[in-house]
Amino acid sequence: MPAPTTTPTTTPMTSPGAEPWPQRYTDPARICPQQRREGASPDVEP
Amino acid sequence: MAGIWYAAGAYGQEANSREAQALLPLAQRDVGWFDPTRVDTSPGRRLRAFATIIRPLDGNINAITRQGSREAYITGRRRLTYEEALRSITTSPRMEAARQDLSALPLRMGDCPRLYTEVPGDYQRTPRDPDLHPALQDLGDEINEDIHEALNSLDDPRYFFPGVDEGIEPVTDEHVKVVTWAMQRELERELRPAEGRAGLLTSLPAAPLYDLPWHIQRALAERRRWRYQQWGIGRQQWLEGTWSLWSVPLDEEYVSRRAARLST
Repeated sequence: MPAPTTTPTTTPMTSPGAEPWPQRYTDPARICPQQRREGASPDVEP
Repeated sequence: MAGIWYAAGAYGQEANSREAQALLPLAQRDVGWFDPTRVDTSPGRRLRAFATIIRPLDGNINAITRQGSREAYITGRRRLTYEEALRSITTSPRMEAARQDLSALPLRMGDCPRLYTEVPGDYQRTPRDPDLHPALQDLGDEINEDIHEALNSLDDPRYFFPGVDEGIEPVTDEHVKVVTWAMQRELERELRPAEGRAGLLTSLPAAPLYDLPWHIQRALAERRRWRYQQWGIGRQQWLEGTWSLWSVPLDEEYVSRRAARLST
């Protein structure tokens, strides 16, 4: 009779440094050049 | 058939020349081969801004003009490098008009009906807010890099992200609030499909800047003020809506952090 399979009780972790790390939000570093200039909000005081 | 081969060869030669030029530092690169939207680690804070502003004159690649102008600043006997063009405009007694021209450039592009010093209670979302002059791409990128780094503190509350203690006007709490509001406003405008799910309607949410610890929000506002100052832009220039190329430090060793990060 086969031995019963043991189910892991710990959830495998993925650290932010490992790939793939799912993005949770839009990374501002990946937006287009014009929108990076827009992100400086030149209508708001420096 | 021969014509097609000839055309292909000429095109290839042009492409090779473009690629070879793109690898040179701006100091040695011919005017006309700088694209500020590409990853380019060529150094020089003022030189990079200058290289965005000028271009060869249509019909005469030895002549140099400003983007949007058809009047030559310089008509050379040969093609000039960016450094030669900058040195000529900076030092030549005959270049006073060009120097004046580059001393009052528009700070903002696009409509800007209102300037903000505090969070408005009646803000209406618009399709587009003003952006920086294209020659200030590096300034926009530095602020963007700061936001990118600050977001690490969402995962690690102990993330080290220092503000700026000296060399800038003190930043008030009200100013921190308006800067966070403005940054959030732009992040919410720029939503895109999740990675690998292009075409689907689901999109990633904007990064929640209001969830950042207060000291990180403050550090972001302080850094932003400092970044503007690094390009010679303070409250007076902001109120007037202009900036001067001559107030941007030469800073010959400066390399865009974004370019440095993406080129490795």
